[in-house]
Amino acid sequence: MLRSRLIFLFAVFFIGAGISHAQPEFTVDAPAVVASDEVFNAVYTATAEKDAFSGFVPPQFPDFEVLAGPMSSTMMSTNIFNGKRTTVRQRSYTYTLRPLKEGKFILPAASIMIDGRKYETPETVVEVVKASGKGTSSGRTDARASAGADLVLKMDVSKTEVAVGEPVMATIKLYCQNSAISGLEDVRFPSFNGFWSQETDTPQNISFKRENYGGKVYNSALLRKFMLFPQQSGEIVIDPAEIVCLIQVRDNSPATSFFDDFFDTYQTVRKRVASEAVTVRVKPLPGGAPASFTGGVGKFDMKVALSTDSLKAHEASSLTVTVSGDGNFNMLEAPDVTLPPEFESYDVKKTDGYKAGPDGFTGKKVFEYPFIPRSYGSFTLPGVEFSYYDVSAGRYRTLKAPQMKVEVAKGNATGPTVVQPGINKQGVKTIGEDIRYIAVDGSGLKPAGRSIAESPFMYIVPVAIAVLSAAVAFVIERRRKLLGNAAVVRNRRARKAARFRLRNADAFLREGRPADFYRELHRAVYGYIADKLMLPVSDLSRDRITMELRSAGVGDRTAGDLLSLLDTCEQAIYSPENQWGDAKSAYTLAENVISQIENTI
Amino acid sequence: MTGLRYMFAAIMCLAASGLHARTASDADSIWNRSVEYYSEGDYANALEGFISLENQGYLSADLYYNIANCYYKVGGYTGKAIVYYQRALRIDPSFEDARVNLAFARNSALDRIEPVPEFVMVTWLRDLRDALTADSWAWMFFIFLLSAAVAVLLFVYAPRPGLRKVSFAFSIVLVIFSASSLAFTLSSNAWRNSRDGAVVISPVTSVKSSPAEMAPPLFVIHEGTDVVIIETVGDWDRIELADGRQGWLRASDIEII
Repeated sequence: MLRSRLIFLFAVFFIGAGISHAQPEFTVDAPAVVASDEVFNAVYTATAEKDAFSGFVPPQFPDFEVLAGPMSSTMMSTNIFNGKRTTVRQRSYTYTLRPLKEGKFILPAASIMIDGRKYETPETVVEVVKASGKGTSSGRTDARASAGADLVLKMDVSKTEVAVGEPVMATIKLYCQNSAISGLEDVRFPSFNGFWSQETDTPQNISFKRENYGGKVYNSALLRKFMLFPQQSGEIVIDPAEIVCLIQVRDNSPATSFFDDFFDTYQTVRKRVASEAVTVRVKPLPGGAPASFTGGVGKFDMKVALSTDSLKAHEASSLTVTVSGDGNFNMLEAPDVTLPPEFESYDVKKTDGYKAGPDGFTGKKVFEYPFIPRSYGSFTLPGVEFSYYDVSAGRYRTLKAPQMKVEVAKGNATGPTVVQPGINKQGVKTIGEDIRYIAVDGSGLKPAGRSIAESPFMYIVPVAIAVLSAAVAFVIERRRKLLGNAAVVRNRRARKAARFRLRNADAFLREGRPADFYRELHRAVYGYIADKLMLPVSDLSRDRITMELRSAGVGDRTAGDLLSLLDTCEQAIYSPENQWGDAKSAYTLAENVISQIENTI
Repeated sequence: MTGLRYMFAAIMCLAASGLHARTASDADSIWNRSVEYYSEGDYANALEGFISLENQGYLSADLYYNIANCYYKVGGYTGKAIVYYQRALRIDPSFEDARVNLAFARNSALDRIEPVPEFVMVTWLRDLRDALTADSWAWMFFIFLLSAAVAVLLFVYAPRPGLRKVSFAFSIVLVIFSASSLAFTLSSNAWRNSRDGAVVISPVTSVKSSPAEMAPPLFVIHEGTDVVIIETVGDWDRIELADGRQGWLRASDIEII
């Protein structure tokens, strides 16, 4: 027990001690790729805190011709930082080598003793490629014209055949052999139409390193790296990228003066370089995607959980669906989750938890479905289904979460509004919408016929109404006329009326009723005269009668007879005795007067 | 001899009436069967039944409405559904269900066209006119005309001046009403018979600047869009959209309401 604890303590101490001081090391630096006619240097550097270098054992170079070396040099540097002083000493050994043949060769390890301990360099590989056989530039104009002829802009894609939603990495690199590039201008990257694109690598400083490109030694610099997700199927052509390189060209003009010879003049040549367009063939996702497919391509896992353990009515909670794995998270939409209608649900919240990886995005995406249960009871949350397209397998996969049974406890009453005693009414929520139902009653079905509006009825009825109105008007007019001439009517019937009354008087005479007789006689004559003259009885004074009769052309004698007859009747009526007098002659006189007036008027 | 002729005529009459009765009950049975199909969800067979009734010459707003519902439910016939809903509304502009469902069907149409805004009065008048069918307006016209005639007669011949004054006012009002009813009747009838409204029934069609296949296309419209036919030249119709744009398309791409 004690021993293990001591060992542990020692280990910690040593490691701690090691970390607090700079570690001595011995490294080698040589170019990765050289041309077969190229002369290069391999530098072995030992670094330590103290100048305790000894016993350098040089490596053997079986595959290279050693032109010079080892040339050693030492370097010391002191660094005072935050009151702490650190010293670094370096000893380097440089060999100048020339390759003997083409191929890949190992530079063997060298070793050195630093402070009593032996350090070895790692082995490095140097690739020897065929020489490009380029001679030195001749003449001023040649240099300028050929400047930049060695520049190549290359756009590489990781895959040329992908499915929709599968990530593609596009790398844009600039290659040059011996041009001196002082800067880049007018950098135009393709717009990647048809892809969802994101820059994954944007180096701020362009640094060149050696690379074997097409069997030749080139210096390459990474300009930019993109991650692309194709959005549509078909053959998508990525436009070429373009840049303008500023190249320093040494101006080998013949010396104009002695002094000019000492100074090299440089000119800046602008060379535009473009990459080639790249075609990516994008296969569409196969048909028959399950209904729960929301655009995910890659490999995914799903986890479903409730945010709170216990649910209470009118208290907010949420259902979280976590999708994790690799794939196109950026294009992944929320899976369809239907909550019971008693749960008031709100918009889905998406939380991104992924980052760019070598093969697309890796990480997770969390979909949160917030809700508030509006009634208490037990509910079943349907199992969440999520489908994605597995590119490596070439088929759709569906992940299903099981149903969840939840209990919602009674909560407190909602709302700041007035709480009414009794039940809180809820509006009837529209769950779905559909067209209205068909008409079931077939009684209105009849063969196509003409409508009233088109039938002759439209003419017949108004005409009929007009005619009817005219007829009614006509009838009324006539009646009016007739009724208006009541006086005329009376006049025409004067004789009849008088006769009727005379007959009555005669009857009274026969019955021996003298008073009635005279009264009736009086009435007959008076009424006759009134009718005949078309005057109301009240207007008939004696003078009036005389005047009217005279103007009507009746003779004075007849008028006088009439008046005396009236007198006689009145006398007989208003005298106390009930006597006849000359009734018969009065009757006869009345008849005569009447017929005379009849003949006249 | 005549006896035989009479018998023959009697038999013919009976046969004719029997035949008529049978075709009527046939129509009823087809109707009921189609309604059953629809309630079971077999929309294709329901549609077949209703269309056979239409081909036999039966006509009613309900029949057109049912055909439109079947087209909508079967799916893929948005244009036809819109045509039939509008046919139902032509016959009975007050058919609320058809109006609601037409709005649904129009939601499925792809094109969104901003119609030229209409004068408010025109909209009000048209809505008032569409509150009744043309035949109902004709009856209203008759009734108002009769009432107006009575009012005029009363005005002319009423004995009391008070009654005359009232009758005067009434007669003016009733004359205006009857004139309006007549106007609505004629307008509703003309609209019902108009043949310049159409709906696009092919999934997509490009409208060109002149009636030729090679003419440059002006714009593209999809199934379910309403157009107005302005003139016809051969196979091509000149149409106008609700926002005023015009062009030519093939007559086979649209169906007249």
